[in-house]
Amino acid sequence: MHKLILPSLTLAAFVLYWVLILMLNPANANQKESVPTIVLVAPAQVLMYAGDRFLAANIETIRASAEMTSIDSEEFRLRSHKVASLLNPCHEDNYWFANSSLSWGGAVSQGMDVLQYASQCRFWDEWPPFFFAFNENFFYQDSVEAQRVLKIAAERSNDNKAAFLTYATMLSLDHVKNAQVALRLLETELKQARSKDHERILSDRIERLKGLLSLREAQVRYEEKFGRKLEQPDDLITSGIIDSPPKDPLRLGYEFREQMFQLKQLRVR
Amino acid sequence: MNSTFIPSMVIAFKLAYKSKIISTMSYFVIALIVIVLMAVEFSARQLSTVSLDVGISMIRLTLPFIAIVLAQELFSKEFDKKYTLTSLTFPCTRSTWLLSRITAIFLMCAGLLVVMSILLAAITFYVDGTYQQATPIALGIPYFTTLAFVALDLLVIVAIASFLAVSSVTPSFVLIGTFGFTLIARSYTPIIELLKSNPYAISDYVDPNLYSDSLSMIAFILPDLGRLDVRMIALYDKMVFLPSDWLVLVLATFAYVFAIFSLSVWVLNKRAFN
Repeated sequence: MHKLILPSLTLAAFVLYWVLILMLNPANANQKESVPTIVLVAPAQVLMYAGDRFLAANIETIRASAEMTSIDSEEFRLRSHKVASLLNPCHEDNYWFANSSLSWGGAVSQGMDVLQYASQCRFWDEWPPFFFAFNENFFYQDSVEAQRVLKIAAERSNDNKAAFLTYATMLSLDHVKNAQVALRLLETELKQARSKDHERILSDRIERLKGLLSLREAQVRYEEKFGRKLEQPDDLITSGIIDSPPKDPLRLGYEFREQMFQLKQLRVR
Repeated sequence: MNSTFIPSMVIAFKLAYKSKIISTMSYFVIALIVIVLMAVEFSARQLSTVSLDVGISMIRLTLPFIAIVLAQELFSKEFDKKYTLTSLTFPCTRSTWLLSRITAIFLMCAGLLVVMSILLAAITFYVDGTYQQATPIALGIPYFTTLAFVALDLLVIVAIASFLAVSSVTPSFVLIGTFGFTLIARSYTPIIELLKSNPYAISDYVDPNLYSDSLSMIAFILPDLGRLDVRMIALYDKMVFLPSDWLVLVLATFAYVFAIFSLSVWVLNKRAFN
């Protein structure tokens, strides 16, 4: 008789365990968090990847680029790109993705932090300073700083030197032309994109920028038609210049500040 | 060196071969190919750099593992099965027995390093052909220099694994001890650098230099394996990424290895087998 005691106890214990697990329902427990939100601080990652900060930077960049297309993962990407940039500031994919997904996705200053680290580490590369200068001019209207950084980009470049210097003289263009230049830049990036995800986020951002361009063009038409400055953005609709405000695929929208339409930026908690 | 060194080393090779180390190594080689090709798929603009980068990471993770397995196989198991009693009755001093086996472990790991690095260079060369990236990689002297530093890192780990194997009683301590050593010796420099540059990691009220200055003292106990990772010279083909004091670094590492070797010989000579 007591030969059966141990096997049956084992079986009973396992059955109890399975019943309790069924009550916990592990399949449902994970559904709340679809986005991997945890980003360890850089020193902890070094320890986790056996002292290999390059491997940690690669994996963090892959994590960030894998979550590129979902809108609610923006805050995760902020931290992820930042940590990857601390681990290996020279990582080319990281600054490239961070620029298209953060700077153009409403998190301009965080995107520019990554670009700044990349400019310092990649002392030969003309693109991080160029993007930095471009963002400085387009998002912050700081053409003095933009010109300074563009000169750094021009010094590093052989093929694009003349183009960068020409662009530096055109910085105080009117706002419509600025948006058109930005649109051309994003379209060039879209042509170079190698993955479907990257193509998708870039076309979302192009769509968003086209909305901004249409608003700025409408503002010019309004001011030409009525001969006065636009004070309230709603006047564009009430005066019949446009039917409805453009839709932003990133759901961040546009704002009207200092009598000019801007891309609205993400509020980071 | 005496005439028993080479025969003793040949025995070590045979023992390692009997423990099927070749098949273990081949799994790692296959893993290298698969992981590198998968990582390349995620890269947008620097495919060859990612290939080289992830490959070097894989090599640096594989080599300590193989060194530990071999140290357990050639030292700990010998002690467990009391084969040492017969081994040491041959006309062969304890120091020759030890150093011949350490040499055998290092040569086998270095052989794996050569195989993996040639394979990695081939994969990266193939990847490089599929996409023209803006910043080229360097598969020449910079790559070779990086691998030489990886080999030096390996030498330290072989020395530590052998030391722990001859001084400890249980084989599992070789595994835990060597992994712990490798982890800390490789991490402390990057961690100190990040603590200095990253104010988010520590509280606002603490001076970041306070931590890093006291953490830097660790260099007196453990060699700086983190700075032996000079792969950036090959990833971006810029020799300026090589630390300016690399010669002192290399000499210090060799001095440490020599100290550990002589310590191991001393411990083994003192050890009582019964």
